[in-house]
Amino acid sequence: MENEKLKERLSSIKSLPTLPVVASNVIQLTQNPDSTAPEIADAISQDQSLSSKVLMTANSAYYGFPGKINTINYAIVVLGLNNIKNIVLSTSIMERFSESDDDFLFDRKQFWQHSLLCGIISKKISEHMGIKNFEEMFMCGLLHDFGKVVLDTYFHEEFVQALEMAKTQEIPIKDAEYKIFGFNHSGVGALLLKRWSLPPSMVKSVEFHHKPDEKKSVKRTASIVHVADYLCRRIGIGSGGDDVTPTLNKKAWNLLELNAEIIKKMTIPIIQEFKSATGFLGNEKDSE
Amino acid sequence: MKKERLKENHQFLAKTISGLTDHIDLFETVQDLSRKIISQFDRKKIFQTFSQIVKEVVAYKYAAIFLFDKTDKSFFEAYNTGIPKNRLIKHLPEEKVITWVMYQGRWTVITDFEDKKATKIYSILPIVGREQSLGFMYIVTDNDESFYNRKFTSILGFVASQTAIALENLRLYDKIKSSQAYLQNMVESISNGIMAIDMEGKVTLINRNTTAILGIKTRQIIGRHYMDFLKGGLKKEVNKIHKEIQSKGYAVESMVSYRPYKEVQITVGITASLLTDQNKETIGTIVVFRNMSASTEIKRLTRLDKMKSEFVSNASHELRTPLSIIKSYTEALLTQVEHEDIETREHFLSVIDSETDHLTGIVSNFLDVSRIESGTYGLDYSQFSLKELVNSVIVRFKAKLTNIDIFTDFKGDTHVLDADEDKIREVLINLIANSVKFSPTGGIVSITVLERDKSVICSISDTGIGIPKDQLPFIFDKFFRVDNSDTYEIEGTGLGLSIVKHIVESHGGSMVAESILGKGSVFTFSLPKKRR
Repeated sequence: MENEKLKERLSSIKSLPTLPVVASNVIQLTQNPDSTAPEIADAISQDQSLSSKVLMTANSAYYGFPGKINTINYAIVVLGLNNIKNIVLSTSIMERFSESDDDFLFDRKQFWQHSLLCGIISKKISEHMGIKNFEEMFMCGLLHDFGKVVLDTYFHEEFVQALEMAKTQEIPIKDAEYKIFGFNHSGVGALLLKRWSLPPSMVKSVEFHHKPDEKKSVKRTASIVHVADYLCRRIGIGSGGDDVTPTLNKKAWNLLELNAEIIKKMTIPIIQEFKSATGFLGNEKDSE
Repeated sequence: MKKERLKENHQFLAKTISGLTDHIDLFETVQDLSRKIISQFDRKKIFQTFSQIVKEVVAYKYAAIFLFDKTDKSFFEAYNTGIPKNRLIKHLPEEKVITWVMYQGRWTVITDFEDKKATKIYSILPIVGREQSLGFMYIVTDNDESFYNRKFTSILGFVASQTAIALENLRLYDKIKSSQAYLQNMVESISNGIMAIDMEGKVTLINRNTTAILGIKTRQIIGRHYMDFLKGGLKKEVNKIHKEIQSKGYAVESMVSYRPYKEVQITVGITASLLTDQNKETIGTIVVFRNMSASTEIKRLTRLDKMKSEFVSNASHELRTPLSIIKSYTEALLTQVEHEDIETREHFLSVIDSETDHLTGIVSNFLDVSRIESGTYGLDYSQFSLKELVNSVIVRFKAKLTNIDIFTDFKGDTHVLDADEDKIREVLINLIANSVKFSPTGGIVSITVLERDKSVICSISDTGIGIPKDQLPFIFDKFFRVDNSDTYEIEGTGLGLSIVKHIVESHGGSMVAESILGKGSVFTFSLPKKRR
């Protein structure tokens, strides 16, 4: 029911947001296990501005490589394919969705800050849990609320209504969205990421980040994003567009084997990494 | 246009699928190979296998493995595939680069392909364990920019993680081995015999002392049933204790006399306790063997030492009494007794004479003991009648005593013996004197002589104070004196009975003492009629 409504509404959009061709090619290439570094470097080099963004981010304090990375090729072999994919994807999305209507209810800058912090916390938790592919977990965290931007862009008036409702009734935005649209941002984001052929685990983690125990296959990753989202709001950097801290899913929390002590230890590295990662946020200058 | 796009998509998909299939195939191969890594418990072999597998993925020219030294945070080369050492060290990246790569934890190429000067490509494959970085493989390949892809990255990551597991396993294995050696040392250094057996009775652990104490010659004991190699009474006793402890949970220490080697007789103390695992489940029995002979010997020596010091004080006292009597009577004779008072002088002289006899008796006892000890205590055989000898001895006692009655009872006719008459006289004097000494006024000493086919048996019984049961076994020991407040004031060297027993036994006879405390004692000796 929810899904049908969602599909119906989205199909009403004439031009669904697409990824830039270059980014899309790069992501496809990185998903093929046989793609070589030069092939991917070629693909990135098709877009001059993307190339320079990639190099800038690769040299940023966030990655902290103790040396100069001058070529895309070198960036690929030093940072690895997952990081390159992350840089390309986040740069492209943020460029595409960063312009804001100066809407005080939904501040894009605040939104991306929240997303970035969530990505970093997701990554840190994954590292703590010994999950190998923590770079992908960064992406899951970064894009978990992506649906909100889509709603804000394509159904602006209704989304503003939802924001106001969340504010006045003091309810989470996802509940307000549901009242107004009949679906909420997690489904929208997931649907779009799926269209962009991003890995299914990433798509599902975004889709289930509010109800992490409902989908077995992504229970772990969705739980990470869920807890990271919760911790972001506790830390108080950035904004997801509402002020109500979502309730913490106990099962998800228990699954991650975290405790107050571990969180306390993680907090400072998280804030440091967040500061060094602002290069991800498009037009801002690298802090190095 | 659309058709072309479809074709393009199709091509891409086909390529991706074939890539994925290759990926799976390669992964399966690598998985098989990496199983080889994990099953190794030898560092060099782990590194060899690791290098071989890596070579199948990236055809390197050289590779070397560096390990971190936990103590000073440096790293050292632990293995290489034949690269000249200096050349490799020269090309090692700065430490901060290595640290960075270790932190990232994935295979990282550190040479820029596009650097025109680069003829070789250097890359680092971190070996990261569960909780710490263990080291890395430094890989040198020809400048082939196409070797870096996702497939190789993930395979190398997997192989490196397997190597890390193998190294950690190896460390645990070494730790177990060294703690096992530590325990083994402890078990071996315990002076008792220790043997652990499982629920089926098979030996799981045994120390060298067990085989030494028990004189077990069987070589391979571990894994064998204890009933297979234990012998005689020991086997029975261990079996009993094992059953007891398994059914009741405890067992009382038991002792068994055992002959581990020919002509060696020892007393073995056996104790046992239950052997449990970490869940408190019983998994067997620990049996401890103690050679009690050693501790019995120490007890005996301690007692002997105590007796010797008692002897010194007793003997001085014994010698001193007759000496001071002789001294005072002699002084009186010289200074106080009138020259004409012949009666007094004779009385005094007879006292001196009898005390001199007493002294001679004591000294001859000492001499006897020293002869017995040096083995020069010979016997001078002759034929005589024991009845006559007894009668001649008691005449002397009767002459001195008024307050104790001595009765005799002779059964049989001849009582003729072939023996050393002087020595047997000594036996009788000693035994009768003892009986008299320890009998209160009004007591009775009776002497019975029986005749058998080949021997004559003589018992001397008294109505004296008796001997405590626990001290009875020791009364024939040298220097032994019954320790009792009643005997405290009675003189004696503690040598008489040991001499008596020695005399009887050197004749081929035997000697027994029976006693009831407070009622009296009976000393019986038997002597063969004919010389052996």
